[in-house]
Amino acid sequence: MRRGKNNAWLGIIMGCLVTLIFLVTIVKLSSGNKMQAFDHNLRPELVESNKKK
Amino acid sequence: MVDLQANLNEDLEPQVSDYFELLKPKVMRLVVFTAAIGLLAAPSSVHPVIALASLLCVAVGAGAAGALNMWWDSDIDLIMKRTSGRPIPSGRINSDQALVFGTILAILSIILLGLFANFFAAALLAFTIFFYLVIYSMWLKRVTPQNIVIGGAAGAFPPMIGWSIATGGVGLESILMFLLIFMWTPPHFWTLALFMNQDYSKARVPMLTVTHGMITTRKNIIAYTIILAVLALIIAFSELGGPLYFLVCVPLNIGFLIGSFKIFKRNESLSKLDNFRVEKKVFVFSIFYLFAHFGIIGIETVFKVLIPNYFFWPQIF
Repeated sequence: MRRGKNNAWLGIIMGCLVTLIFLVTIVKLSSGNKMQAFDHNLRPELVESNKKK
Repeated sequence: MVDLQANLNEDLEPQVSDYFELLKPKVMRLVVFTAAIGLLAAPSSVHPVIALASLLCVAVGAGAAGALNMWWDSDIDLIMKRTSGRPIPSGRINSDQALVFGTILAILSIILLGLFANFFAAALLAFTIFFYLVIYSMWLKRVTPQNIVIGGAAGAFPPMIGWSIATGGVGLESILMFLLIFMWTPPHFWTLALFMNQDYSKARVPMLTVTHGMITTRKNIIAYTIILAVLALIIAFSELGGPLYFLVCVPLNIGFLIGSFKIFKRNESLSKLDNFRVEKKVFVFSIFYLFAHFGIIGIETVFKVLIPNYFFWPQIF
């Protein structure tokens, strides 16, 4: 009984965390942040000097 | 067939409320409030979702620091009457569970704050947790009567974290908010120590009341309250202050000064006679004092945004 209640709470907290990360991602994307980073290949648009052009 | 052993094991498991208590929710409330005011008073604006998510990280980080403090101090918490009911000394949670819980939450809150807001704010949160756990709990608390004077910095960082969430740095105003909490902490805790002295003596925590006696503590309370009042008045003429702040700040500081002066004029026999009535009243008032100062800084900020130049006010810096 007690374990079930604890697990239910953990589930709710994890759900809230996922929702929070999702919402922050949406806000950051809609305010112009790019969702990319270094991935072993050179991306010209990520180079600081190219960004300013 | 009912598995009695399984039922027994389950009964010994901590409840969610026990873990919540480890986070020191009362302290967390003050931390979140002052961090929120720091964020609100900052000159840059933050999207409400980012602000809420960042403040949640600060709350969890503060809770993690509280849990780690309870893990480290569980031996003295057991001795002190005020803290003997906490989850570890009362046997509801064991030390290892508290250590793992606090560590995971600390790491999670720092990383998420870095991703949600910026890495300067995350570094400041990490430093605050480190300061509270290592500098205050592990080192100063059991060594010197200056424990809460220096250790008080840990509780003073939250408005600076709030400010850095918005600005990514430090400003004169955020330092003033830091100083307000920093100077408030000694008279607040020494007033508590006056009527909780037996607890600290029993646990051999070198509070000023234990090492230097009650008279010295009473003198120090009034001295720190005078410095605090001067600082609170200086803030009235900074970017944070204004006419509303001034109107609230003056009576609050007069009240705190009168209370501290009453404490200074009293002696042990008089205090014991009425069960530390004045000391207890001043202690409660000091909590209200801090909430009111930060509350009015918040209101003043909202006023300035809604009605620019709503009232002429001399600003020195």
